[in-house]
Amino acid sequence: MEGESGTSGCIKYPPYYLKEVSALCKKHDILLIIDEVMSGFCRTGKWFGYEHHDIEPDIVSMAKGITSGYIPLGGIMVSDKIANSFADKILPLGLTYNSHAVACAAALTVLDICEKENLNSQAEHIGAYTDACMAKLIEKHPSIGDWRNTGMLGCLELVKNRETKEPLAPFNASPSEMHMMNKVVGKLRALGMFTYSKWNYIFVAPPLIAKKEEIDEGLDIISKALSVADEYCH
Amino acid sequence: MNKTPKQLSLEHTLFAWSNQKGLDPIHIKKAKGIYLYDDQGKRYIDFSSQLMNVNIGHGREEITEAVTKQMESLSYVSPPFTTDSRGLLGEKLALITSDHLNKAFFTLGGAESNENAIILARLYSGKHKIITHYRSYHGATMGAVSAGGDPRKNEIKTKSIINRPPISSMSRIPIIIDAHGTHLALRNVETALLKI
Repeated sequence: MEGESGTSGCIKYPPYYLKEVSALCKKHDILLIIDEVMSGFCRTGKWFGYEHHDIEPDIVSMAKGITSGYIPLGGIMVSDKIANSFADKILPLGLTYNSHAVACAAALTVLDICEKENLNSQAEHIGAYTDACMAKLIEKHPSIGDWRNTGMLGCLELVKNRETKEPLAPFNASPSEMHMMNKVVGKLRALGMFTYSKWNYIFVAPPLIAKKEEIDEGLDIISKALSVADEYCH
Repeated sequence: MNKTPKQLSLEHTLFAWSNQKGLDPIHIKKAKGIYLYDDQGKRYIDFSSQLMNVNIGHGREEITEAVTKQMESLSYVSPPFTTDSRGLLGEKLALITSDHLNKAFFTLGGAESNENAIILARLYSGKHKIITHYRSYHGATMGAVSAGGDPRKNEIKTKSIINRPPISSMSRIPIIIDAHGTHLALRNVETALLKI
């Protein structure tokens, strides 16, 4: 399970949900794998998203932020009980580029930067600032159907009607159903912004080093693009 | 006239998750901090850290230095060897994850990590069922995309069972390295394929 939902729409787990799922896994002798590929490495204001949920996964998968994209690297952290079970039997896993020396060196330096620049507290702090700014945009733009954010992993859901939540593009939209969203995304690009978008989602997850004035600059562009979306509201 | 790198990338490379016709990718030349710069010098604010991965921002010289230093002494050895960076990163990850997570297995990215996590869980537990969340996304390799609940997984991708025809009879064919031998071997392969 995702440590914290990302491109799936930053869908937040209800309170205690993941903790109870973890308890169910223990009760039924099921291993719990937590996917921290997107939510790991300070993105949500903690080293890993699962830390928000007070659970002990058996395996944690990771990638992305571990090297911040400078060089490809991923990995899994494995519990002692699993690791120890291979003490006297072959671990049948392997990749030519397993433990690549250059990728590991890049990751070590990235983690060092995360610590020296307090990126966990930075993500929490700037994330809270973004939430506060977004509250003003929600008042201004009827096309914002929802804003979901944890640390600096956030997503706007655009709608034609805030009451009915009719989306600006449907779930799993085909290219022909994307014409309204394409206009919004085209506006962002024209105004000098790249941000990941999918269906009726616009993601807000800038680098964790972003300063308040850079958040202001970005949200100003988003606000202008949302004016395009507002025209479709009824 | 020579084609631009942008034209070449459109003509000779495939773009992920897209209709290949009518694409107009931004050609990025430089990135620094939270900004990207295209081939026209236009600046873009990167508001999603690309794919939520460039957490420390673009163009950090510390990484260039670390990578250069590592490459000057050693770029690559195969997995049975170990290196300084492997040991130190393993220790660091053990420190920042929960107390009972103390060993790392490194891959090249998220999909491969999930792929190996699934294999390892099956190996350890002897069970095979994987339960995941509706709408979740875990990567686009066959195992990872099958695990995910993203609707972009399609029938082709999730048909993950590889057919292995019983071609053991081939090994009993006398090794004749000539056209006749090849013909015999191929006939056996075809017989096996038709049995699937």
